[in-house]
Amino acid sequence: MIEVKDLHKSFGDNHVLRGVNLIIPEKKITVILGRSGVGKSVLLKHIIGLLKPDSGNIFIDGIDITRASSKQLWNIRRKMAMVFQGSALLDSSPVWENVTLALRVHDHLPEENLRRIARDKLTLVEMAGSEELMPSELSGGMKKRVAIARALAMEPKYLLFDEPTTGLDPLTAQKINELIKELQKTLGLTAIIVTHDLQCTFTVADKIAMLAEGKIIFEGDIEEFKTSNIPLIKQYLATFSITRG
Amino acid sequence: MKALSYVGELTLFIWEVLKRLPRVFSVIPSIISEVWKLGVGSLSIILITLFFGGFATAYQAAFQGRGYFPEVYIGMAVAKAFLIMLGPLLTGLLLAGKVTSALAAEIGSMKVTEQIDALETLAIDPYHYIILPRIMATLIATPILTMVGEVSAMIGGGVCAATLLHIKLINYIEGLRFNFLPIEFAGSLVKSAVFGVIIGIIGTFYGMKAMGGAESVGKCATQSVVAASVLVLLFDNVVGVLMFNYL
Repeated sequence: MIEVKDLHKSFGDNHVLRGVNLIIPEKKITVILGRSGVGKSVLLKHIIGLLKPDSGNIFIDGIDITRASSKQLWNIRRKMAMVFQGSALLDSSPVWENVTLALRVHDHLPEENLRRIARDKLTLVEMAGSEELMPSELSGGMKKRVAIARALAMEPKYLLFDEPTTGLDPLTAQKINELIKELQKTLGLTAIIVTHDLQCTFTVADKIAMLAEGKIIFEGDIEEFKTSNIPLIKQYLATFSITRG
Repeated sequence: MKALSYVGELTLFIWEVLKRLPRVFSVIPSIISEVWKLGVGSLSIILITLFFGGFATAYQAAFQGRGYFPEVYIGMAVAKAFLIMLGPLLTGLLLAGKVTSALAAEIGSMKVTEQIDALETLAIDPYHYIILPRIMATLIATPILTMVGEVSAMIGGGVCAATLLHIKLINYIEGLRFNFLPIEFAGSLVKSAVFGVIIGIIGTFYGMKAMGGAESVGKCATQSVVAASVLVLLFDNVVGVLMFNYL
C-alpha cells in the first residue's frame, strides 16, 4: 500500500503541495485528478522518489521513502514503474532495447531472452512486430504503448502513469484507457494515474482523488464524484457534459 | 555567491561520478562504444587541423629562422611545438568545442524529455549508466586523438618542407628526432588526459543542468563550450608548469 502523509513541496515562492494526504489502495486504479499546473505530476514524482519533499512522508509497503537510503530507494523502485507524459523512450535504442533496458542492466540476461521478453510485452500492448523500430519512427500512441511495455517488463507491483492520454486523438486515447484497465485487471497491478482528462478517469478509475490548491479536496469512487457538491468538481462535470454534448 | 554555488554544484557532481568509479568495469562495453563514436567522429577534424598546423609551423620556422639556423631545425621546431604545446592544446580546444557541446546537448535533451528520470524509475543509476562511460570515453579518446594529431602535424610539416621549402625529407625527419625527450611526449599525453577529463565532466555536467525545454539545452551546450575551453587553456598552463618543473 502507498500512503502519503502531510506532504509539502515548494519551488522558490511557489508552494505547490500544501499538506497532501492520500491512501492508494492495493490492486486498484487510483486517478489523481486536477487542473494543469496544480502539482499532480509533482506528487507522482514524489511517490516514485524522483523529488524530495520539504516535509511530510510517503510510505510504500511500510518504508518511508522520504527517509530511505539510496539502496532502499533503488530496491523500492524495482517494485515500481512509471509511464511518462512524453513516453521518455531512449532515442538512441530500438524498441526492443527500450523495453528490456532494466532487465539488461539489472539481470544481465542473454540477448535471446531479452528479445523474447520484449516480444511478449509488446504483444500485451498490441505492438508486436515493432521490435526493431526506432522511437522516432513511432506515433504518439505507439510510443505510449511501448512505454507501457517497458514499464511492464519490470513486472512491477505499482504502475504510475503521468497524463497517459495527453496529446493523443480521442480514439487512440480511449484505446490507451482500455488497455490500462485491461492490464490492471489481468496483471493485478496497483495503478496511479495522474490526469485532467475526465473521459480517462471515468473509463479506468476505481478511486478518484481531486487535487486543488495543493491539497486533496475529494476522495471517493466514480459515483461519489458525480454526486459531489464540491463546486470545482461540479464545474468539471459541467464542462465535461458540454464537451460531450 | 553565484560562482560559489557553481563550484559547489560542480564539486558535488564530480563527487557523484567518483563514487561510481569502483563499478566502472560493469560499463566497459558502453565505454568502448563511446570511445569509438567519439574517436571516429572527431578524427577527421583533428587530422585536418593539426596537419595544417604542422604545415604552417614548418613554414614559419623556416621563414623566421632564415639565415640563422640550419634546415635540420625545421623538423625539431615542428616536433617541439606540437609535443610540448600545440598537439594537446589544439586537440583539447577542438574537442572542447565539438565533444563538450555534443555531450551537453545529448544529455540535456535526455534530461528535458524525462529520459534521465525514466532511467531512475527503472532503478538505473544515470550517473553510472550514462555519465561515467562518457567521461571515461573522453579520458581514453583524447590522448589517442592527440597522438594521432601530433603525427598528422609532423606529416603536415614534412609536406611543407618537401614541397614549399625544398628541404630534403631525410633532414626534416632527422630534425624530428633531434633532441627528442620522452618526457615531452609523456607530458603531452598527461595534458591531453587531463583535457579529456575536463571535456567529459563539463559536457555531462552542463547536460544534467538543463531543464525546461530546447532553449535550455542550447544554452547549456554553449555554456559548456565556453567553460571547457577556458579550463583547457588554464590546465594547459598548470600541467605544463608542473610537468616541466617537477619531473
